Amino acid sequence: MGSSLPPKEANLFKVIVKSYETKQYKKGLKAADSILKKFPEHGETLSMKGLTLNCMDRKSEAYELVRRGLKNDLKSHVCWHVYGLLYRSDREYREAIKCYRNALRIDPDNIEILRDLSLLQAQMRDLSGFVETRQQLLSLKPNHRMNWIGFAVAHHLNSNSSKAIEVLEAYEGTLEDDYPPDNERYEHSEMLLYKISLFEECGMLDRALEEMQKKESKIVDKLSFKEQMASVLFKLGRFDESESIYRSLLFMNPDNYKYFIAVQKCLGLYSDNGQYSADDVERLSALYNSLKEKYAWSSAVKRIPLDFLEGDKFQEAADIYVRPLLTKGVPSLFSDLSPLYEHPGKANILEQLFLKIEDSIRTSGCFPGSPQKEPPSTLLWTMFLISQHYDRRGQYEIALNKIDEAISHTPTVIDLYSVKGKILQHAGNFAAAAALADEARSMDLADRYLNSECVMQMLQADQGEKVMCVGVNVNSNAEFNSMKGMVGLAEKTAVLFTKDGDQHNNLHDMQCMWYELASGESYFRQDQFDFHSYCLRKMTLRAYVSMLKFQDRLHAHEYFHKAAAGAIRCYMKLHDSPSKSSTEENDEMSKLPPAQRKKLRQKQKKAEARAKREAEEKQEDETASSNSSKSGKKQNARPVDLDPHGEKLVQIEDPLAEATKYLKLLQNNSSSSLETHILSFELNMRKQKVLLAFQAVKQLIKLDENNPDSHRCLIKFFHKINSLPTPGTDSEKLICNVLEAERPDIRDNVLGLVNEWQIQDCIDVHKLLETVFGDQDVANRWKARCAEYFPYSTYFEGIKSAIAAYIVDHSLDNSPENGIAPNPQLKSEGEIGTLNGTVHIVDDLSSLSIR
Amino acid sequence: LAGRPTTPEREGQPEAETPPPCSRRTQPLKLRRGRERPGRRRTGAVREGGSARMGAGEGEVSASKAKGGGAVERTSLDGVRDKNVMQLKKLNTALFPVRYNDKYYQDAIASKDFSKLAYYSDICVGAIACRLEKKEGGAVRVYIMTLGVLAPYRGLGIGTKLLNHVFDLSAKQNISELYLHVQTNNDDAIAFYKKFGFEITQTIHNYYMNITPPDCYVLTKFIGQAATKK
Repeated sequence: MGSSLPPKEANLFKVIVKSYETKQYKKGLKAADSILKKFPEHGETLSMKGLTLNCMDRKSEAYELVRRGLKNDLKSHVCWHVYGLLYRSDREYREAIKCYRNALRIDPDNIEILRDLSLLQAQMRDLSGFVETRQQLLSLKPNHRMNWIGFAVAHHLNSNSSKAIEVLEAYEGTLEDDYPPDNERYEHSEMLLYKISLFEECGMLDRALEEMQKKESKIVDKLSFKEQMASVLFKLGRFDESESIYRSLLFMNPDNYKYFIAVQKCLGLYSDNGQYSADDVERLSALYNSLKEKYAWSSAVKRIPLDFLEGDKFQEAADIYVRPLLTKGVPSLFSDLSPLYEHPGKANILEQLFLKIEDSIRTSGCFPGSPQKEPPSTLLWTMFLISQHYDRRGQYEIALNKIDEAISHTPTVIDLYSVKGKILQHAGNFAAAAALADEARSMDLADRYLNSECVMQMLQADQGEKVMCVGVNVNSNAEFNSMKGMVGLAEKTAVLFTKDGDQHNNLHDMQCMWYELASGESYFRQDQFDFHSYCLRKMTLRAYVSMLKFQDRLHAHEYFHKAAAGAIRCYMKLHDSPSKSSTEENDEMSKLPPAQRKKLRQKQKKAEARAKREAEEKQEDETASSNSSKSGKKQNARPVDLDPHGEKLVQIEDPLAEATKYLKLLQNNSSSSLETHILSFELNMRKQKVLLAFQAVKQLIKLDENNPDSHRCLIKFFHKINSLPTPGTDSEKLICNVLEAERPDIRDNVLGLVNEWQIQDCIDVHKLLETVFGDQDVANRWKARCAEYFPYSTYFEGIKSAIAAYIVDHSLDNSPENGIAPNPQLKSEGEIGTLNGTVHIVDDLSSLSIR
Repeated sequence: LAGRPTTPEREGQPEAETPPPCSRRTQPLKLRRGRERPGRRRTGAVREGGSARMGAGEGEVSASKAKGGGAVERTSLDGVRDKNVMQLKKLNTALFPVRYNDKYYQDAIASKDFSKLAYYSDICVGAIACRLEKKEGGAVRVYIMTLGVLAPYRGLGIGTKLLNHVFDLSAKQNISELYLHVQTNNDDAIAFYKKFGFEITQTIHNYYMNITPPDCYVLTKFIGQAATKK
């Protein structure tokens, strides 16, 4: 390094390198400049200066200098290495790898470059390259533990677990007998556990067991050791031994559901679908009764039996379970119980139970049959629970009355307002839901969850502007900033699609998720990068590997699914109503009444001003942080979003092609989701790919033939193909033949009665009638019917949608939540079933179109 | 015991009743100026408040004895801040038939530890709101603007706890005078405060408008350095 320089300058060069490593950038810069005074074209110095400037946030200069340095000294590995580092800092990992490879061509045994390269290979999942690099590192420095472990992990990631084991054993062979020394016991123990998990992974269960017995004294993490032991014994079929270990684990933590399930499995008492024979239920009850005696404080031991018990026994167990939680006041009680509503009959039992409890507390102040006086809050939490219960069952009227009662009992409990907002949302009044969410937010300004919830509700109610107000009022925290970002996006969309499109609500909602996720993902990637070396150093190998696997599975994650679905919808929307040029936009605006136009303009202006302000603030932040960069603590400031309103994103040439990309990801990763196929259907219909659309319909029917959405797609599909022109080309004829051949199958399969009508389904049906069939008369009749059943729905303009606007007045002089007269109770679920009567309209239509 | 105290700050008190504006000179202690401007008068305000105040004094004592310390253990106090002031507003809406203006809330927040929200197993169920006033000669006194507990949570000793808190704090800061207003027919509240050493020091005629009787008592308690009772 710096060898071509005279001694004095060579020393200065060393200073640059050292200053860079110790983050004393100013000092490094000075040294570089004094070399360059004498040798203005010295390549390595130019490169190092560039690298130093890069850390001081002078990016464009940095690239220029590094490139010039490289040009002047193509044979220097330093220049190539620096170029790679520069790319790496901008997360251009592929380019960085190329640079490292060039550097290694010049200096093949440079440990530092090899190490950097290996990290990048792990990051980019170039696994065979990773193995190679790791091998080279090991042969260069076999006395470093980290190199052995790195080599083993590389093999493991490259799906060669047995090779990884060999490496680890070879490494152990190099150790003294009395290894490890006291200060490395934990690291060594992690290595052993890692090796054992490798044995287990390749099915070498006996070896795993043997190893565990031999090395038990050297393993520090006793909990993991026990879990591993129990798991291996279970896989070996030694259920008794496994069970007794799981029981001892329960002793350590009697609220870990995994342990309970494992004990059940050891006893042959576990079924994935939760179905048990009467005999099994008997045995399970006995098991949990005995566990309950041992672990009286565990809530898991009381909750799990609710899943398998039925009838009276279920009621009894549920009673025992909910009482202390109502006394204590656990707001999440309902979400804890909500999975039980999927079980037939349990909802009714719970309803009776809750009502009995409420009645008893009202009359005597005690639980049924108990002499113990309950605190006043028990009634509140009981009403809270009952309200959520009726909400879950779609009886919104009762739910609202109950929650209002709870609010007048104790008007200070924030959860009550949140739940009331949710009920109104489910009942179809988004504006009122947003008002309630905002009220809840106002009651604890420091609660981020409430902020987010409120923003979500407002977005659903298309109140982008209000969201901004909330944003300004609330302390800027990370979530909120990202939310502001997405609101900018949502607002832009609102301007673009001035007309209220369908999916509009969803659009807002989804697009934000997508936005958040995008930034979330990039953060995650960055984090992961730091982990590569950290984990190897700290030997937290098992966590490391599972983290990498998680990352690889990320695309199957629920949020990714949601986000991708949202993106696809956006693109389809863009296709349906292409963005307007500015003149058109103006036209659009001139159509609006003047007051609204003014508002819109103001909104745009405000948005622009805000964007400007934010950009300035960011810049200030950056200068501030670069000033403080001497301390080296500066976190990489996020680059300013060049496209804060998603304008470029929206002006895309072929939205359907973009949508197809996302769809492919969804099809690969979540093919069992109904939504994936619905999207595929919608997309392919737009692309006129009839057969692909048909495939999607078939998938839908296979997954759930009674789903209203499946049904809807089918109707749309046949409606479409009936209106296709007579086939002209051969391929069109072929398509036609295929469809004819498949038709009878489909007809027999579908058109089952829909069991439960959700408001969204009814809205969809209405849209279908209105747009696809264009039958305004039937659509209006449908709407009138729905308005009766969903009186709170603003979409159907139900009678209570207006009263229930619930404008929240923060001055509070007449709080509306107490002021609404009690409404006549909604008829029970059975009556909603009569909606099926009207379904025939649709069924008739669909069969018409099939014929 | 909602509104047990006093319906203090009943709007509409005559201008003449406000204390001399001596406190204007008092920057160092950051005291508030005199009491609020007279506001709107509301009919029937105290009537409703009166019924809500039923069962104040004695009810409280006997009930809190019956329930033992358990309820008090479930109770904790927290300060009033701009982040949670909405809780106080919600309480007042439920407890008093009067709307308090912004100054009331500013005063409550500014009184720092003298105004407190009472939480019963993490639910906000009551509050005491005070204002610090500077008298002629520089001495400070505490004016209790409101004290109240939501109806379902009365009789648990929560009001007592709030009041005792203010006594203790006053003693610590060498404040020897506390006062408040009560409508003259609110026997329960008067009895309650007498139990804590308050005495009627003045009667103000026509303090309230549109309600009968329109008169109020000023109840005052002087405390020495000694600790509070209870």
